[in-house]
Amino acid sequence: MEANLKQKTTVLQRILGMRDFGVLVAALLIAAFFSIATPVFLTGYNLFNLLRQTAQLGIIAMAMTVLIVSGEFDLSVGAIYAVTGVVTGLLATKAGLNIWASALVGVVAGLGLGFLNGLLIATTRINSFIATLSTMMVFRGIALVLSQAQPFSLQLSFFMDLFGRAELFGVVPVPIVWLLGWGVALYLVLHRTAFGVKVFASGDNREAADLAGIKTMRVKQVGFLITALAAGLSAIISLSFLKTVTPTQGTGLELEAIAASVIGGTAMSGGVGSILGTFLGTLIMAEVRTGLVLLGTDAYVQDAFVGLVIALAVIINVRLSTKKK
Amino acid sequence: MAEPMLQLRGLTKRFGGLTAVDRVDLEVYPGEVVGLLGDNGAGKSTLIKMVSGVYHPDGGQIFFQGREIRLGSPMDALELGIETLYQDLALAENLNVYANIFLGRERTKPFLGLIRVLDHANMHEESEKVLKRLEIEIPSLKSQIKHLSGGQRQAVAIGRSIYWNAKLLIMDEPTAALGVQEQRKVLDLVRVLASQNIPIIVISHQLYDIFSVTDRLVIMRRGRKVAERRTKDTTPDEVVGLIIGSEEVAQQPAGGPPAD
Ligand SMILES: Nc1ncnc2c1ncn2[C@@H]1O[C@H](COP(=O)(O)OP(=O)(O)OP(=O)(O)O)[C@@H](O)[C@H]1O
Ligand SMILES: [Mg+2]
Repeated sequence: MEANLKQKTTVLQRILGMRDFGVLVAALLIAAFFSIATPVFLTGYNLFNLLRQTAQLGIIAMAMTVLIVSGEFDLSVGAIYAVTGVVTGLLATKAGLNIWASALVGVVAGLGLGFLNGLLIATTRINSFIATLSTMMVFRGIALVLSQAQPFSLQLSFFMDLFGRAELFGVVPVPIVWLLGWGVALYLVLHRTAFGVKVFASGDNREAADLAGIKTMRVKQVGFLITALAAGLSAIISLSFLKTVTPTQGTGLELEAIAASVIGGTAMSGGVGSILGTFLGTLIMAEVRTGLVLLGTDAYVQDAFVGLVIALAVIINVRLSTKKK
Repeated sequence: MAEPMLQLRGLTKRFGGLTAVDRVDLEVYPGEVVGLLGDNGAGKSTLIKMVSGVYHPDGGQIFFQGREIRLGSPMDALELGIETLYQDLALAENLNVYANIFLGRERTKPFLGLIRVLDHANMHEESEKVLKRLEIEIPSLKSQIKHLSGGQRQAVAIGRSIYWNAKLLIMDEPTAALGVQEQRKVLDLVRVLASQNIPIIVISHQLYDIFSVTDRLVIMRRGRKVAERRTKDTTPDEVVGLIIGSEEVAQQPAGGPPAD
């Protein structure tokens, strides 16, 4: 057994070799570009605003990363996000329930849908891309039927301050605090616990994981609960900030979440990915969007640009992983 | 006479209309290396997968250390100390060496009194010890499996199966994917383990391997056990004949524990 591996890499080399580092450099370069192109970009107001807008997507994207690493996808998160919002809005306005109780029921309803996703995949063994494509349509239908396709307006309350409108120390918008808190929690789960290793193993080599005694189906089912919980939290933040709920909200959010995850270095084949990378991937998407807005480009051009960023990220990822082999 | 570590009685497994394993009896005694031979599709892997909890038998019984056992999942077998090295290397490519050795049985430590987090230092240290015990060189236990050679991977897989103080080790074609040097290394490992009194079942198509490490041979053909021989009482020619079925099938009961 020859020692054909380069040994004793320095700490610097290790950091430079990390994928997350590459994503960080990309995020900084893009920020530098827009800072030069438009002076408004690098203002405290804009940066906080950018992060606040990122919160909803980031929370879902990081959860999606856990699921993709385990080898599955959840295309229904945008619809779960809508159902949580609609159920909460319905109970708070039409049923006159207290907003706390309404939100709790809304999130639990969302978790129920996540549980259904997991159950569907466990019992039928259908590919999760197809399975959640169909539940996405069903769940979206539920949101439309429950709301009779009407939006809800909510009353301002302490609850809404806590989830959407308050500012920590008078400067940091509270959605950012939720984003970071959720990010730290998922970081611990995926990268620091035994469960996290099981998530990686399930997506990397499912058979090997099963033979090692890991209940991979259980792991994936928990993954679907995590994405549903993220969709619920995100929906609460959104309705707290906007004071409104629409049954069509979150359309396309699932694809944005997958895109952010991929830009952050997550492999679509499973077994590779990181929470920090996805956080940075979400930032890159927001930077590109905000920067282009500040430069005065119209919305269609923005989408095209985000598309280009995704393609570029995937090409770089593939290059990196083949080079190392 | 010592009690068998593992005893199979009339073990049977069907896949649809095909009887992959047909009423097989087998005993493995402490400290013994048993070679399981047979042509492609003879039912060797299926037989051992019933012992490792992957498949549920359609008939027959499994006794381990004298007690009948029923295995619901691979974890059940692992908990009893039945460790298996599978034909298709069962490792997670993107995880590192020690994460693979501890796969499914990760070491953790408390963190802030709230949750339990991975204890990397402990897993690294323990993995180093077990690989040393096997005299295996792997430059860095932090390298991902995909960067290792075939022999190194097999070494990791073996290290993993013996770390847990295996009471029975099953190896399904442990040398199949390896170069000559690496094959020799793995055979040395089998000898080291046998000398530590761990009973081993080895499946292999390489007669040289089988003759150099086993005490006893069991030959299967089309799902059935067709013969059993003490390794020192037979020849490669006879064994080949038994495998392909050209020789008269003499159900000569040459089994039993190795005389020491
Ligand atoms: N999961 C399965 N489903 C259906 N048939 C199977 C399955 N596993 C094995 N078989 C069949 O059972 C028979 C025995 O297969 P097995 O893998 O046990 O053979 P083997 O002796 O290990 O062969 P090899 O030396 O090629 O590994 C073969 O005919 C095989 O096609
Ligand atoms: Mg086989």
